[in-house]
Amino acid sequence: MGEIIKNRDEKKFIANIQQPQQPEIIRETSKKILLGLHASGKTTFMAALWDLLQHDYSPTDLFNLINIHLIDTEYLTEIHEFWSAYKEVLHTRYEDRHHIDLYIQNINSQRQHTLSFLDLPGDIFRECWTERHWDESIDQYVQNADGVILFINPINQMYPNSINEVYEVYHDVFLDPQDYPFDIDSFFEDMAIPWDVKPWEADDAPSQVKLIDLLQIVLQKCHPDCRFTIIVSAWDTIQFNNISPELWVGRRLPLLMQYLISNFSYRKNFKIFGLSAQGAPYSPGAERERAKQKLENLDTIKRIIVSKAKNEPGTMFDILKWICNE
Amino acid sequence: MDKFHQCLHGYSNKKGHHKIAASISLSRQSEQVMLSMSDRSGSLYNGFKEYITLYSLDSEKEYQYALAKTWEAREIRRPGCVWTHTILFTQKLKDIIQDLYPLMKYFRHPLEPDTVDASFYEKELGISDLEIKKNHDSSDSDRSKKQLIQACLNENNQEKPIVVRAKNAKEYEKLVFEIWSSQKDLTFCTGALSIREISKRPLRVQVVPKKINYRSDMYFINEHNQVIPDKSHITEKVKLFQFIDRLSDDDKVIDQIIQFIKKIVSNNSVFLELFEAAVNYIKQNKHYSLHEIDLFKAYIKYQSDFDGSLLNLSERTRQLYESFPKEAVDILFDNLKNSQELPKIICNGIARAIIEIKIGVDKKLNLLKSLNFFLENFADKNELQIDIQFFIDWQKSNKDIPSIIKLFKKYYPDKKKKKALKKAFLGSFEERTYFKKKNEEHFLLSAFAEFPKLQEYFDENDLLLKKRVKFFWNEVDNEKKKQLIKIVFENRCNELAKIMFSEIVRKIDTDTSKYFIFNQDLGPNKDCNKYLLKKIISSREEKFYLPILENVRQEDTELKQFLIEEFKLHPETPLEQHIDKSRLIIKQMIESGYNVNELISINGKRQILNIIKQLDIELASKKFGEIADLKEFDIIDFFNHIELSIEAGSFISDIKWTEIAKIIHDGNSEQKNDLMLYFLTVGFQHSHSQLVSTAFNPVCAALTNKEFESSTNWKIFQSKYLEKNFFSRKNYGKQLTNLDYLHFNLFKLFSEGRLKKVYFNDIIIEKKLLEKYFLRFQHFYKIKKYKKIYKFIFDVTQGKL
Repeated sequence: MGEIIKNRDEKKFIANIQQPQQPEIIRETSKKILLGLHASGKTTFMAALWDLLQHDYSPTDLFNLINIHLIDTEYLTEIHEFWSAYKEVLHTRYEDRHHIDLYIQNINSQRQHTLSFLDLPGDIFRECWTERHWDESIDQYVQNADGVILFINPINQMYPNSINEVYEVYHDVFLDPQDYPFDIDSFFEDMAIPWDVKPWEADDAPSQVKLIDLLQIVLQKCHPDCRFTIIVSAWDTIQFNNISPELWVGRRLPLLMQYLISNFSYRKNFKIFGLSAQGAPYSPGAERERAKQKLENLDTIKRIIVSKAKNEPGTMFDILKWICNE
Repeated sequence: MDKFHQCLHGYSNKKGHHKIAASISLSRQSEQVMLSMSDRSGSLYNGFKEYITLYSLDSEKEYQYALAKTWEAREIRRPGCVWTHTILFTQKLKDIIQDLYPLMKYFRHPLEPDTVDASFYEKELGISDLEIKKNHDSSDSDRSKKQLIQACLNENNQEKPIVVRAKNAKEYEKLVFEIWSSQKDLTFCTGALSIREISKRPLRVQVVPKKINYRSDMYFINEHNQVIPDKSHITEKVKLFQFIDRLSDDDKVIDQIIQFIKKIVSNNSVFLELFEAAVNYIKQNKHYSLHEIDLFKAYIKYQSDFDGSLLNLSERTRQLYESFPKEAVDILFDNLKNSQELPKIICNGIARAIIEIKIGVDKKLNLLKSLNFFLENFADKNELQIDIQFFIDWQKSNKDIPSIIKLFKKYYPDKKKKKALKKAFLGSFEERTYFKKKNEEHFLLSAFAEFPKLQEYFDENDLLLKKRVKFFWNEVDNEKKKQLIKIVFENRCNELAKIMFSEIVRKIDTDTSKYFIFNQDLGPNKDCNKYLLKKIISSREEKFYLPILENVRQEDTELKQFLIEEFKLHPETPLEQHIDKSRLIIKQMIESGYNVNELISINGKRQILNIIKQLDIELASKKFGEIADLKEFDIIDFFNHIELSIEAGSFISDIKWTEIAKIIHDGNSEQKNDLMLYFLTVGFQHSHSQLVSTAFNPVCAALTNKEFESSTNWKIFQSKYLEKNFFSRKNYGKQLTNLDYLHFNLFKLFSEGRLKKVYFNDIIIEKKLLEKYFLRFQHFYKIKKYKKIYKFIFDVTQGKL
């Protein structure tokens, strides 16, 4: 009798082992393309993201790196070196096409994601506007992409000038209003000849025009449910104005904002973040050392400055969460 | 003289990496290549802050070579930016430039004090001829490294770059320039911070920093002059090159080289590879004067070591004769009797060159002359094959068969010449490129059909006629085919034409047969059509029948008559065997208006059934009248199939059936009784169907009562339908009265044990009741009135009650 009971217990035990109660793992694959003109912070974003995922910093982490596509580690290591040395990353070469596949998991929800990024040189996107050339290698990727991350660098934006502003400049610089002995229009006509006016070229167009043109192409190609993430990089240079990222875009790039609102619904299809992946402005020599000392003791998560809607402070994970659709 | 153009690329905040200025505008594709080649070559590395790149722009027609110097742009805040000054030059200039080194001083850094502004780069670059032709002294370069790189360049695999590890970009700059001077199709980069390629094709030589390691898609040369992978005899090549460098210029250079190669390798294929590498090396470095004639002498001297098929001899022999005619003829006559393969090929090549150049290939007379010449001089002396090239050229220029026949007449008795002639004549058509020219093949085929004399010299095996016809048929259009058929038909008494004609018939498929037979153009008197038709019918392939019959219409009586007679000659047509397939054919024939006689004679007797099935009702009765009229027609054959023809029978009116049955009944056939029985049996078996009224009734009408009773009584019991028909129809009721019917019913009731009742004209007769009443009848027996009834019942029931 005793033996039989023992056997029964064993069976129960085995049954328990055979049916472990684990939550079901969902793995979602999504392809993201990084858009933005040259020096808009695409590569720096990748470097910061890599650092963030690579190290276990604190229990506040939301995402965990599981694995990475091995081919790209060399490139990631290189840009990470620059990032951790508080240097500006090398400009991405014209022929470079960096595919980065990251396998990450949300610690809370246990959902797994395969995020594959395509980091391209900004020159390609500039060519879209100037040469009307759309690279074949991007096209395939864009068609399969379900997420677009657009970078805007507020520092090297070309802002449009209105005619009124031009007049003002002329007046301020060259003329005292009392010295108008002649008709102002004929004055400009005369001026045009000796000054050897530079002809307009495609590169002179305001940055937001270029970006809208780019978005327009992408929008034609990509999936209708594609998520757009607008990242205003170098946010540390703007932050002190106490302005929210979407307000900043609305004020400084009104055409772009108008385009976004009329094509997408806010918070459903697109979101705007402010991001300083570096945490401080790039500056040479002693200033860099100072910034370095200041930031060195901080965790990555604190070094990277992120601003959400209404200028609420956030973290990189907020962006990831939005990108991963969680 | 062509001028040098130039171009500057660099980085600006506004535009990123872009073209700043240029003296020439290039195609979009080239601009893009230049944009990527002018950008940084990889991630930064000390010692590689300035480097030279040479590449070609494949989409450019004129300025397709780009020599570029790249500087790291430390002036720009953003790291990783560069300046690149590119000098563009043409093919012509490339050939003139002796050394790249003197050009280096023309590269201008954009921020140098004497470079005023971008407009400098917008002008053409003035470089004096002297500088271009200057030859740089190369004594101090690393000899062994150079040999190593050249050995790698000698490898066949063009896709793999040769990657040289260096301390800095300057280290092997002169060396690479030197190699370029000897091999001007070289592309290179002296500072490849990553492996550089243009549309996936890497630059051939790339000098790299230490951080780059060996990958399987490259030849890698490390600091210790080791090549990885060293599977491709590179070390042997380097040894060989060193040996060549040590040699002094005399006549025996080649001998010495061959001896040396033999010493270091044993394998034959490697031998050839090394020998070619040595020849290339000598040509590139111009140490010694090496003539083609010397090489040919060497080939013959060491013939067992060389593989003729790998040497590309056919082109080279011609060039040899053009540049060294005297020596070439010497080689030819020295080796005429040499039976080895390689000298043979060389001799043949030279001989051809002699004839082509001396006698010429343009005029037809000259061609025949040269053929004469060739046969006279070479076909005898050894077994040299006449080169097929003559005949190919001959075909191009003229198609003079009679003169060819003359040639055959003249040389045919000589066995060797005969063989050579035949081979040459046919070989010219075998040549693959000419196979594609359909005219040629057509010409050959028609030549054989047309000229009986030519046929005397060939037999079927020589010609591979069947193969030729097959090929021809698959390739050409209908017009050509028609021509061939015409010619072959007209010459059909020739043996070869006959073979060709039967092969053509085999090749004709169903669709084209329609075209050929019924196209009026084929022959004016339809003789050709008939001949073709005859051939097709005798080939007994049923796939032809439908299109033929479809197209021979009623109105074309002549052809139809011919066809019927032709079919009669071949009684066992495949139509008899394939009932299903011939259905369509019969339908077609009926529509074309063939009468039954013709139908049967063409299709065979067994097809009658199908004929019946195909007829519509009105037509059917008409036709069956005809069938019934056929006295000689073996009607039993027809009834063998009657079982299957139930559906068909339903179309035919009763009267017709009666007629048929009467014919059978009145006839003198020995099988008459059997036939009637059979006819009835079938009728009974299918009594549930219409056949009762069609097959059975007329038979009944034809039979006498006795005949009927004797054989069929028992069968009617089994079918109520039959019974009803049998007794209720007026036309048969003449003989069968109601009493007969009662008789029949009572008989049926008492002979079938299971039956309990029968129906007689709506009266139910029950067995039990009848038995009861029969007992009563006994009492009435004496009454006269019932006596008759009693007797009747007693008779019928055979006293069973």
